[in-house]
Amino acid sequence: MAKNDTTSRRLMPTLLLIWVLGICVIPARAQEDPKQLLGRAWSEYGLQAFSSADKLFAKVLDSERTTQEQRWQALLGQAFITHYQMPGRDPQAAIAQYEALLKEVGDNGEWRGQILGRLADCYVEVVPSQMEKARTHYEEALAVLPPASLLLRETMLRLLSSYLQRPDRAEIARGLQRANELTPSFAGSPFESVFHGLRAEMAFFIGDYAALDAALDAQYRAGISNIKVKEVVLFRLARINELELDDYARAEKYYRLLASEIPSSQKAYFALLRADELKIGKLDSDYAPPLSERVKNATAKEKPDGR
Amino acid sequence: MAAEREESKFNWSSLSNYVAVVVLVVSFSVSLWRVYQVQQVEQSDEVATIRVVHWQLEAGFREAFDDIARRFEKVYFAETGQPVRIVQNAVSERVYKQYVQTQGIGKTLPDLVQLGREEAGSVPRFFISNTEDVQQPNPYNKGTSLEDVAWMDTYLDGMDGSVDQTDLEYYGASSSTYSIRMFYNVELLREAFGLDEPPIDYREFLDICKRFGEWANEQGRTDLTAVAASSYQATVFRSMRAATLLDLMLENDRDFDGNFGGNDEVLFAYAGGDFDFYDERIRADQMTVANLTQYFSPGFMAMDRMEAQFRFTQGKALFCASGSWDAMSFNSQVDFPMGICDFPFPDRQDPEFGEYVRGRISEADAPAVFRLAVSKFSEHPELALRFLQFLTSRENNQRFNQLSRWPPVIKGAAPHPSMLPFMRKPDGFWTNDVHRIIGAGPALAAFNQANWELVEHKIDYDGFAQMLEREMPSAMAQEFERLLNTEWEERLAQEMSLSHQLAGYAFGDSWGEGAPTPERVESKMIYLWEMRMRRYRNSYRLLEWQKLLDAGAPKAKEIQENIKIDLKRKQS
Repeated sequence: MAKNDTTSRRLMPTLLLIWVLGICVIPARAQEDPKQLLGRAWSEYGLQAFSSADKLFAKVLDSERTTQEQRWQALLGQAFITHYQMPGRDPQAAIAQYEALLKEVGDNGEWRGQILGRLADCYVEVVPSQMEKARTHYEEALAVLPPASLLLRETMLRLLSSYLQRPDRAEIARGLQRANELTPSFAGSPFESVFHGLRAEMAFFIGDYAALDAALDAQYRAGISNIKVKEVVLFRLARINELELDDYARAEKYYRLLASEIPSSQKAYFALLRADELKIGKLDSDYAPPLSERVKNATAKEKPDGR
Repeated sequence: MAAEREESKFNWSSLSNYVAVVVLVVSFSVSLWRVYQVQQVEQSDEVATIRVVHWQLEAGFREAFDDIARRFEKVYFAETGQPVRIVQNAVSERVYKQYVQTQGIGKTLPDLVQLGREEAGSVPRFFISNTEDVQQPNPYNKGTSLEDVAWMDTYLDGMDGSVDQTDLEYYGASSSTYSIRMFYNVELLREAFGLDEPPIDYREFLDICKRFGEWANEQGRTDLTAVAASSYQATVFRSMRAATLLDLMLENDRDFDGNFGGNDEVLFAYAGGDFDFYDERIRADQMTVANLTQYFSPGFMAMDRMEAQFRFTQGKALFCASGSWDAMSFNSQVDFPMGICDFPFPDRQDPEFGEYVRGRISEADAPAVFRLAVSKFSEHPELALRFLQFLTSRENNQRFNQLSRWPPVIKGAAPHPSMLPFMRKPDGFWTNDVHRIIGAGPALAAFNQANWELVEHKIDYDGFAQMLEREMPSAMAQEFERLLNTEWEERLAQEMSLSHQLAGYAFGDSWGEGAPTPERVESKMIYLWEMRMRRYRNSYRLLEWQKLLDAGAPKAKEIQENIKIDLKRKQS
């Protein structure tokens, strides 16, 4: 017992010091700047550490120093976690969170647009999807987002992609039409290339090769950052022109572009060989299935007198 | 006398015990002293230490790395007056993944870590991105034609292999590339045929393999075999296939991107009756290797990779196939002159396959390897990055790869003369797995099963085709189901990344320290959307599938009978 008492007495100053430090440190942590907390929360979110992110968003909401916009951001972060966390994502449950937040933000355009966009995403993702409701929300978001905002174009892309979700050619064709209406909005925007890429997918789904060619060409001209995407786009342009549109000069042009712009492509060698063949009018390649038979068949099918 | 003998015996026994104890104590003390010395070096406050961990245990590799490390230490000291020390630690490949994962979780990862064996998605968590740095010139290329070239553009692959698919940032830098070639025993080749080099013609090569077996029998050297191989080498020898599938691929390439194989187009073409496994082009592709495996060592399927390689290095085989990473090891193990050559693939004049051959397979997309990345727990991240830049300057990349005998990855860096046969050959065509829709699914399993039977010559090609035709309706049905699910899941995973960027765009400026720049957020959003565009193919797939069913395609009907999920539900 005596020995224990001595030990306790020796430990007392240390324990006291820890207690004093604790008293000093705990409030300092509690008063952490909401700005820093939000930065950390979103960083954790990006690393898919959802429970840490959730706790940090909760801290922001608990802090007395939190401004209104910081509160909205924390609430949106929590809704994102419900909506996107994997595993366990639950767009149905996120709808209520987004709707509650929508009421809080009132007429603030950028906020409203962001939330309406996510709400629309939820309606796309629930099973069964509610595509019409989703499109209505996307259109509402487009109406309130500031014209200069990148979010405006991003929401347009989401609206267009909603037309690609169901195996319904008529719906996809309507999407292509809506895309044509939105074309001026994307001119010169960072998303211009992506926009034309989506148009190309729609055209391909419904077998409209002229529209596919135009969309892919616009996609290429707008600039593609991903070299693998660029390789696919140029190869498709060459092949469509060669096989479907019978425009061999354009096919040759795209083959040469592929070889010169992506020399590291496995298709560069073939592209150059085929370009050289097309240049001299050689339809039946030494390196690909013969084209003349295909051309003959296509011509036979298209006889105007129906024979 | 008897007592004396006993005493002598006792003394001898005691002495040997004492010697053992002394040896043990000395060994233990030396070990402790070595550990202490290493710790002294690594923990010295006066010298910044960069620890590097990798799994390359091949002969010559660590020595080459040490050489570059010592050079960097000198150059850095001359530049800054500050001493630096680079310490490498090679960990066995078997435990490497666990090592990186546990050290990462414990926040004790070394400064530079070789990537390629880590858990999916863990790179952004444990490593520092160098996206901004790769867009700037490598300072160690100063005074060369690469002086003003962005670091990424000094790479043969444009540093494509350093992009992490989780967050689309660049992590680390590779130092080498690789290719697969054939090794041969010059001594045996001379002895048997009076040749210094094997023939480059596919048929002549097969003939040599056949005659070598006959010659060995005549000589009574039954321990010799034409090709040292295991199941691993049987796969490696698939590199000798020519582009016989190109026409088949282009004929069935519905979306015009040139890629047929490992995608939905295989399903539509097969279900629509546009090809089957009796196709002569597939026969040519498969039989190119199967013609050779009859000269493999008996029971090769039961051997492991090292056993087969040992057989070659022991001078018991004429040929072996492996990657550039084994060149130095082979060279140091053999006591006969060894040659390295390209595979003798079939050409257009081949009497059996020539009709279908379009050329060789291009190596333009050979991947960059030995990629080191800076860990988040490094005490000297800038110094570690500087060492990476040093290692991948043209001059040092050439030196490192000449010493290690690996193919360099930087433009203009010359390989060691003995590695010239390993340099990538970009001229050629492409091929793909025309038997599967997705990655590691049941169609691949069915193919592997039939392929092993074929290369072991338990069945002929028609037997191979029959096996696949029997298995494919069920296998393709399962793969179709998985394909539909995978696209959905991949899109949702991407949606998560995109949501993070959306938050960064909208609120990034309110996050204080460490907030992303608007330019970075914008470029990531564009990159994610570019990847995402082709992840809406399910509706197209369902449309095309319905078209096949409506047309009454027999194989489509058969596959449909094996589909377990409700496709109508998928349509919603």
